[in-house]
Amino acid sequence: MPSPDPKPGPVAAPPGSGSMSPPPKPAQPPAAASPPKPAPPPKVDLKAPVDSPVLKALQAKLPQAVVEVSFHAGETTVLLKKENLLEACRFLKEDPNLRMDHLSNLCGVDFPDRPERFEVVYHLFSISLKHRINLKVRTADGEAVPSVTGVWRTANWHEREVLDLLGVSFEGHPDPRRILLTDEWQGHPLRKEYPVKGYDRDHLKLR
Amino acid sequence: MFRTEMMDINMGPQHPATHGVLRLKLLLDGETVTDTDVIIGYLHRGVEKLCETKNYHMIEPYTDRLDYVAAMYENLGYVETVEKLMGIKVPERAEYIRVITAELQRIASHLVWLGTHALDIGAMTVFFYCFREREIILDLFEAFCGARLTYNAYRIGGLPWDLPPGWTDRARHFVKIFPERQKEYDQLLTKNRIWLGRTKGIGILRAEDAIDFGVTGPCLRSAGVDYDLRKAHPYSVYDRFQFDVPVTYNCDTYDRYLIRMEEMRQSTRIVEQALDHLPAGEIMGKVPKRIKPPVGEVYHTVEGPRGELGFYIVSQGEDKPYRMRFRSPSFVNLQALPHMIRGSLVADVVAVIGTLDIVLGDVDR
Repeated sequence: MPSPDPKPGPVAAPPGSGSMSPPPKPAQPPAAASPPKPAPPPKVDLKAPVDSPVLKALQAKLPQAVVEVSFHAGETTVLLKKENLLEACRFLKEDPNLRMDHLSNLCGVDFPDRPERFEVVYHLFSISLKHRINLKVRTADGEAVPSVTGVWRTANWHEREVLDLLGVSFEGHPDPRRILLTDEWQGHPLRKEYPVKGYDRDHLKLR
Repeated sequence: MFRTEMMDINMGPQHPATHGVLRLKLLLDGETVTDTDVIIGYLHRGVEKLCETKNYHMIEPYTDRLDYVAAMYENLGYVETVEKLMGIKVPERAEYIRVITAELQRIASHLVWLGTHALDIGAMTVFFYCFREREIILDLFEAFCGARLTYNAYRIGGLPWDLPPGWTDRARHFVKIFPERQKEYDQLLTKNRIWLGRTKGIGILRAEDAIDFGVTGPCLRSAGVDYDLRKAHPYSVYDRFQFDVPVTYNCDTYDRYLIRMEEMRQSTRIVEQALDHLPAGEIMGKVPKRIKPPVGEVYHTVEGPRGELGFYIVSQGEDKPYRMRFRSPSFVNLQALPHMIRGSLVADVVAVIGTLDIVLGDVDR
């Protein structure tokens, strides 16, 4: 009842006016396609590059650290070399023109098919200047990532959580313990090979 | 010979003042807290893992169960993140209804906070008053979406239902009576000597520490930092409303009380304006039946009642998220607790837990 015409656009568009024409699809653009689609919704280019002053400053200061830059929905994500991470974070926080003082989020993502299977993602904001950037580093299983607890204290619990749920260790972390799971827990649940039900849980099957 | 020694005291996980299953290991020197170990995870349900196995529509009810005191806000943040990921445009009417319900939710959440916080400190009457008004909001939510706690009220691209007939009049009635009711809480607490004694100068968190700990929401604004995502990075239609962001400079529990009280007044203002300008029209945008976002990742934040609510989705072009991450304000704010209670008395620990306004479902996920 909210929408009077339930999706007229996608259904009505392909047949158009030419009902008997054998090749309807390739002949669409020149002949009959324009009247039924009066206003195709402005296609949002999600991957459109954004003009980011933070990215420019980072590239100018540490050109060797930036491996890859990607954009999605107005966000800038920078893949950094692991060995340059601390340097880049300190620069972003302490530079008077950037002042990325708020580490909003830190988390890990598991890509088991890659040689460096873990990605650690840092979402940074600047409270005073109101700009943002996302950083990323990649690491292999068993290799540590430099801890950013010395730059932002909030990273402490976030890194403990990544250690707990993904098994990525952080070099220089002041308190590397599990945080959400018990100390004697086996395995790391957010790894892709970890079953959703957990190991040895067959007795929980529904009867 | 007398001798003194430090003493370990365990508080929680079953303790009425920890607002759920929070456990603290306090190291005491007499009655003074010298160190604290915060132990969490008793309510960990692995929601992030579960989300990887569910399609995008099925995740929304899970978000209700994170911060169950402000479930509307979890819904709002989640659907907006998926919309941002896919580039979906939401109709105006749906945006306005979202803002109205979300701001009512902020009032309801602050009422739960005020009632329980005052109860922890020893003022019982406030609790009954707060829940009396919260009941009106919950009735409104029940009329809108059928649920009183876990709403699942929005959909990706809009809303599942329009407002029922007469709903806006009931909402207007609430907006009209609420400022008067709020004066009653004011009279009970704001100049109450016991309240002042228990909250003034307690749980100090200065601006540089708050930012360093990632603390957001009223706890950050009580330290003089004007950071509200509704103003700093406006989302939805928040840029169209007139409201103020209260900021105070004393960094203590009493200031956080004042800020939340003022936020309720400001939320009432927003609801009033949104009701006045509520447009007619569609409530659901053009959304494919199967939600399949393109490959990419997005991080979106909204200003929940407790602070910055973040949602991070990695999509591999499938109908399920590859990785879903909830940045919950309670989890991050709780990290500042040991810093805030160092050197204070055991009785003040209860006040500081209350002023942080944590929800353990949100902490443990």
